[in-house]
Amino acid sequence: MPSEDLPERRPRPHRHRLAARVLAGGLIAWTLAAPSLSASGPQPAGAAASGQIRLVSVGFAGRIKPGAWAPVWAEVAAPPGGIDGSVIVESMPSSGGAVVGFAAPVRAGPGARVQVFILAVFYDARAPGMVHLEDGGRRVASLAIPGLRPVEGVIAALSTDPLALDLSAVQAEGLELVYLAPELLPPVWHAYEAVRLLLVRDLDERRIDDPRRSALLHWVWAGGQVAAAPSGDATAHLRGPTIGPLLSLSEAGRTGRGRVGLIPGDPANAASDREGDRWLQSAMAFRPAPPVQDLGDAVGPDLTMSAATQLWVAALLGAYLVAVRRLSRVVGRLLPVSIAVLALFVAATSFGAHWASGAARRDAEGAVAAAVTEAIPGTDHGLLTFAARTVSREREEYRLTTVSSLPLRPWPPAPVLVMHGDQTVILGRNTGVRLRGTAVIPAAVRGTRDAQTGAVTVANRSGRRIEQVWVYHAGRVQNGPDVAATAHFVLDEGRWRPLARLRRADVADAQLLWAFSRLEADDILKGSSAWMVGLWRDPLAAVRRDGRAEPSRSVLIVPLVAP
Amino acid sequence: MLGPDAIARGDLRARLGSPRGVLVQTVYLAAWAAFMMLSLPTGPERFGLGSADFLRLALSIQIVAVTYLSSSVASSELGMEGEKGVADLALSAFSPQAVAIGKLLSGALYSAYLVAIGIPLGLLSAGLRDVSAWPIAWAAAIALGTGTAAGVWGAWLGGRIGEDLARSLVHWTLLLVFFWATFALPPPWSVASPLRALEFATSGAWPLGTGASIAGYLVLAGAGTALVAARVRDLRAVEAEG
Repeated sequence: MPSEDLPERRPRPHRHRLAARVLAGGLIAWTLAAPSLSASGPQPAGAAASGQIRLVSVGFAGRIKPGAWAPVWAEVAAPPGGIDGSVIVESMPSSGGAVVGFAAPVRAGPGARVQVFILAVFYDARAPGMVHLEDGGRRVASLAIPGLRPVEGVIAALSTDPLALDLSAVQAEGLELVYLAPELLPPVWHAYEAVRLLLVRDLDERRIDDPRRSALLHWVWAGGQVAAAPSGDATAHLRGPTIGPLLSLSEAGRTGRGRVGLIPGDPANAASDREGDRWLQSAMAFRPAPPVQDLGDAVGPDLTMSAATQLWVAALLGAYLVAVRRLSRVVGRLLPVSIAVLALFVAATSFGAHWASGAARRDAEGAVAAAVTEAIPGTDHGLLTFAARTVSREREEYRLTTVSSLPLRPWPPAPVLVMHGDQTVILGRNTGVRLRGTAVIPAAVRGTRDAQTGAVTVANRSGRRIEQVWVYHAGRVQNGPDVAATAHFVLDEGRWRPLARLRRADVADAQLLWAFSRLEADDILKGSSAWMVGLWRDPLAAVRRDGRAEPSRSVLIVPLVAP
Repeated sequence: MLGPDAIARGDLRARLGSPRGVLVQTVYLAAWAAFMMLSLPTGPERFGLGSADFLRLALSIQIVAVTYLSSSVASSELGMEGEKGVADLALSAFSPQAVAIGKLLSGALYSAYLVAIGIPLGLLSAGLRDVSAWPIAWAAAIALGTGTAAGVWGAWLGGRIGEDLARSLVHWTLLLVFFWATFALPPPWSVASPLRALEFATSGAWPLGTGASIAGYLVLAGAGTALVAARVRDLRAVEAEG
C-alpha cells in the first residue's frame, strides 16, 4: 500500500550572529537526528529512504482473512553502514489483548535496497498494527499499517487484463477477486491460507523464482487450487517451469489434497463459452478434506521432567529424610535451643527446597507438544499438524525453535515474537502459550490393503521406524506389527475391535487415542476408508528450547489404498 | 498448676526421640515424597495431575496424616517407648486438669512439629508445579487444628478403652466419621471437613468459613480436654474405691 507524501522541512536563515550560531547548531543537530525523526512519520511514496522501511504489500491487495496467515512485503533501504536486523510486524487483536510479533531477518550492505517477506497474522483489519525495522537490536524505523479489508478469502488472479467471470457465487461466500503481480506471490505456502483459488492467465517466468514455485506446489499438496488458462492465443506459460509441472502432476493424479486444472478458454474473454465460470463454480464447491485442526486435547497437560532431574530430586529427598531423623533426636531432647534448631532447620531446608524446585523446573521447561502427520496421497510427503504449549516460569524469557518449514502462531493470541528465517524462533515470557502450525514434510510411507485377502503392505522409505501400529477400517481397529523398511501382514477378521470400545489401557499413547477420534470425526475418511495409524520419531516435529530438543513422538496416519 | 508442661515434655521426648517415633516421621515424610515423585511425568505419554490440584491433593494427604499420627500416638495405637497414657497418669500426682492440658499441649506441639518438617516438601511440590505456595499455609493451619483435636481425643480414647482391638476399631471409626461424614455434608456445612476447608480456602471461595472450621477444631479440642480431665477423675475414683 503506498504511503502518503510529506514535504520535507528546512530551517530558514537568520540575520544575527548569535542566532546564526544557534541556527548552525540546530542544523547540525537536525542533520544527525533527521533519519530517526522522519522514520516516525508517514513515509514518502516511492523507494524507502536510507535506514527506512516502506510497506509494499499487506495481505492480497490489502485483503486479509482475520486470524489466517497473510503475506507482508516490505522494502528496506539499508543505511550507510549496512543493516543486520529484522523487520517486525506487531499485530494487535481487536479485543485489545496481547500484541503478537512476527518477524523476518534482514541483512543488506550499505545503501542497498531489499525486499523482505514477513509471514504474519492479523486479527483486526481496521487497526492491524505496526511494522518496525530493527538494526542490531535497536529500533530505527516504525510504520503504522494502514487499515485492511477483511474477507473470508480471495480468488487471486495473475492476469494483465480484467477477468470476465461471474463472481456472484464468489461474493456470496464473502470472497473477493484480487489481481496480483508475480513478485507478490508468497515464497511460503502458508501465506496462501486465505486464497481459495489461484487463477494464472499471464505469467512472465522471469518474475517468479524457485521458492515461489515450491511454495505453490506445497500449497497444492496441502489442499490449494490452481487453475491455469490461456491468455488469448498465448499458451507458453502453460508449459513453463511454474504451471507445466503442476499440470503434469494433475494428469498423474499426484496433486495431493489439492487440485490443478486447465481452463480451455480465455477467462478474460467475455464472448467465450463460459468455461471460466464453470471452473470457478467447481472451484467454489471444491473442499479438500481439512487437515487435522485442533490438537489441543492431545498435548500433555504438564511439564516433562527428565530422569536425571528426577534422580537428583529423589536424592535430595532422601538426604532430607536422613536429616529429619537426626533433627528429631536433637529436638526430642527438648533443650532450650531445640526450638531455635528446629526453626533454623526448617528455614534452611525451605530455602533449599525453593532453590531445588526452581532448578528442577528450569531443567524441565520448554514445551509440551503433539504432532500428527497425514501422508499426502500421490506424493512422498505428509501434512504435519503441530501443537505445543510452553512450560516455563512466569517472567523468565524462553527461546523455542522449530524448523523453518514449520511456522508457528500463538492461538489464542499471546505476547510472543515469532521470527521466521532459517529457523522458526519463538521468544516469550509467558507460560501456557499455545502454539500451532502446519508443514509439508517428507514422509515416504505408502501403504496398500487388499480388500479381498486382507493383506496390508507398507513401504517405509523414511528411515524411521513406525511403532504401535494400528489399522483402521470401517469403524474398527486392529493391531499391526511395527514397521521398519517394509511390512507385510494379513489382517485377522477375528481380531477386529470396534473403535468405540477401544480403551485407554489398550492404547498406551494419548495422541493415538486422539488420532482415532479424529479419524471418525473429521473428513479425513473421504480420501480412503482404511488407514494405518502409528507413532514415529520425527525430528521435524520437535521443538527445541535453548538448543535442547524436547523428546517427542508424533502420530503418522497413512491411507491404505488398493494395491 | 503443676505439670502440664512436664507431661507434654515427656510425650514429646518419646514421640521425637524414641526409635519408633523417628520411624513414624520417616514413614510420614517418605510417603509424601514418594507420592510427589510418582506424580511427576517423565515423558509426554505420562500425564500428571493439574498443578494446583496436585498441590491440594498433597496437602490433603498431609492433613490426614498429621491427624492420624497425632491421634494414633496419643491413643497408644502407635505406642511410643516412654510415653505415658491417661491411664498411667491417673495414678500420678498430676491433677486432672494438668493431665488434660498436658495432653492438649502434646497434641498441639506434636502436630506443629509434623507440619513444620512438612513445609520444605510442600514448597518443593509447589515450586515443581510453579503454583502459589499459599495453600501450604492454609494446610498448616488446618492440620494444626485437626491434629490438636485428634491428639487430645486420642488421649481420651487411650484412657477410656483398655483393650487394643476395641480401641483401634473405635479410633478408626471416629477418624472415618470425621473425614467422610463432614465431606459428605452439603455446602456450606461441608466446610467442617478439613479437606473441603482447604479447597475453599485455596479457591478463594470462603476463607472465613475455613477460619470458622479451624476454630471449630479447637473447640473440639477443648471438649476433648474436658473429657480427659473427667476420665482422670473417674479413674482415680475407681482406684480410691478399689
